[in-house]
Amino acid sequence: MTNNIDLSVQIAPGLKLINPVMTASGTFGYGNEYCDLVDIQKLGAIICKGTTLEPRDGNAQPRIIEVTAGILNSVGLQNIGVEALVKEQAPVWAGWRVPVIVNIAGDTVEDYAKVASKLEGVKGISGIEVNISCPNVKCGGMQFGTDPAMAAEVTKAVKGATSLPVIVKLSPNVTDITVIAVAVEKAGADAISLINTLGGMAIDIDRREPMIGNIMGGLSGPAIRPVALYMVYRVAGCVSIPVIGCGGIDSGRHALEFIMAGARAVQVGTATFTDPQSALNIIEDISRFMAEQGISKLSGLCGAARK
Amino acid sequence: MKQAKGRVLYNKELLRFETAAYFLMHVQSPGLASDCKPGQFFMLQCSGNMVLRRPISIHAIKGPDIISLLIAVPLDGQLAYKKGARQLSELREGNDLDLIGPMGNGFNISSTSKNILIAAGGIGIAPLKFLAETALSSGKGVTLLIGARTKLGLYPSSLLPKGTHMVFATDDGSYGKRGPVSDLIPEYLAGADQVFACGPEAMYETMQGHMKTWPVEKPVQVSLEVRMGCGVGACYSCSIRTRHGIKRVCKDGPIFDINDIICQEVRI
Ligand SMILES: Cc1cc2nc3c(=O)[nH]c(=O)nc-3n(C[C@H](O)[C@H](O)[C@H](O)COP(=O)(O)O)c2cc1C
Repeated sequence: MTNNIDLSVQIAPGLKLINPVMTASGTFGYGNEYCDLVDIQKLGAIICKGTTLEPRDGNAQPRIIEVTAGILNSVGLQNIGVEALVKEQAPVWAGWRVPVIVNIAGDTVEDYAKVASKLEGVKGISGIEVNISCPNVKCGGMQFGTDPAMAAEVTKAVKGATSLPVIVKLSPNVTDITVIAVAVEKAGADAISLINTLGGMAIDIDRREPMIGNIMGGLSGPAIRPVALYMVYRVAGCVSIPVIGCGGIDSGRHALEFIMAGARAVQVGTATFTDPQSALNIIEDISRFMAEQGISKLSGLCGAARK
Repeated sequence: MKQAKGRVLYNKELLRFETAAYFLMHVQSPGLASDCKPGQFFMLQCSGNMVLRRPISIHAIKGPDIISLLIAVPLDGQLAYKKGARQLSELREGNDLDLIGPMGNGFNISSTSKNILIAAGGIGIAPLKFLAETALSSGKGVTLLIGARTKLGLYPSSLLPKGTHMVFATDDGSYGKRGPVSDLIPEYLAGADQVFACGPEAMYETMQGHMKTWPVEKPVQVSLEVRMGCGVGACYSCSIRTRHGIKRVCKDGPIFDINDIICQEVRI
């Protein structure tokens, strides 16, 4: 029934996916961790853990807690560093059909450019997602995502250091996300993904202390979905590069909401923790919906709900 | 490790004290118990819009297809992070349960050990029954020290494997010896080739202190609990600093040599 359905999407020049569903950075490691449980080659793409110039240890425990309809996390960009990624992970990825996009972060503009240049020409890497939106570390992220001039500067620096497609991942922790979106588009971004987590906290009233070791964490999961959807809707209305939607997506129906809001593709994060099959189920759900509606090309649904 | 749709065969409250109830659950799925080692755990999906799975130790093996789990349910479980266990306790016979496992490294019983000493603090008994059963079935002598705050929280001896030398302790002295179970360890150390423990982080801190005065060094393995995200080592939500660098409790643990852990790092 779903044989003549075309789920493929072009999310950036030179980056075509067999379907629009990717695993979100930080929730799917380097991909191999889930190999036993998930047929990862069926994914649209895998976005790996945020990667920095040097390896990082991350924040103090507790790093994660369930809140109503979501989770707060404060991993603090623990990662193996770009050198180990190039040496140990990329060769594994080079043998995969599924494209892997490397999510990068840094403390300075130069850091971002350096990480990007170390990925240049490495087999097994299909693109770069620039994380200017991590709320969990003092440096290395969000300050670049909350100021349009800084966001543009990072984008330019990364574009100048790589020939890979560059996706810039935006923070929702801003007054007007469209200003940042327009700034990174002008600076040369090939695509925009949004949203990263929303800053939040929870307090243990018996111990009289924050429930997260780092005091605050990033909120993700179903709780942020309506916020993410509205931001995607607004950003898709003011840029012409592809927009990738993310935030609380846990079913085909919710993925389709983002696509109809104008997203070319989606990322699934927290839902993978609930069920590792989530991303694959979403792909199935989307093609079933298309078959039922008699739509053969996914692009026919992109922005379908825009007014 | 695999993801399975299990069927709940049994799920009943085993005991209840001031702050929690312990539920005993049996789950069945083809081949579920194969490759399970003591100290390993499953990630259980909770119903009712819960986002995170809950890591639950393997309590016992009931057959090739059936595992037994012991789940502590906080009685003040209003908040989302406490609700997961509550929902698992509400599963009834015949209900489905999605589970992933077995996960983690598991305890390592040395083939050369003749006798082992096991110490359980509170819900720490959960992985240790399986450990005691495994050790006994390979012909080892097992001494099991079991502690709880009061006698209401003590795991029933009738459900523990026959042939185990059991010693009970309560903080308030309402049953067995008075005081924390960690205080009993030195007394039973002499014949043991290996020591295993599971309990609150404070118990390990006490043990680390005591160990400096042990007449002979003995290897001690402990099971750690921190909150987890994925359970497969992908998200780094459960990472802790150890004496040998940063480790993921879900993948590199949950069993660690007690000398490797820095107790202040293990917070929940
Ligand atoms: C445990 C965890 C770790 C994350 N790590 C990263 C990261 O390293 N880089 C990044 O850009 N986003 C990171 N994120 C954000 C996700 O990629 C995603 O943007 C966010 O969680 C919202 O989507 P969701 O509701 O589907 O999870 C992380 C999220 C979680 C829950």
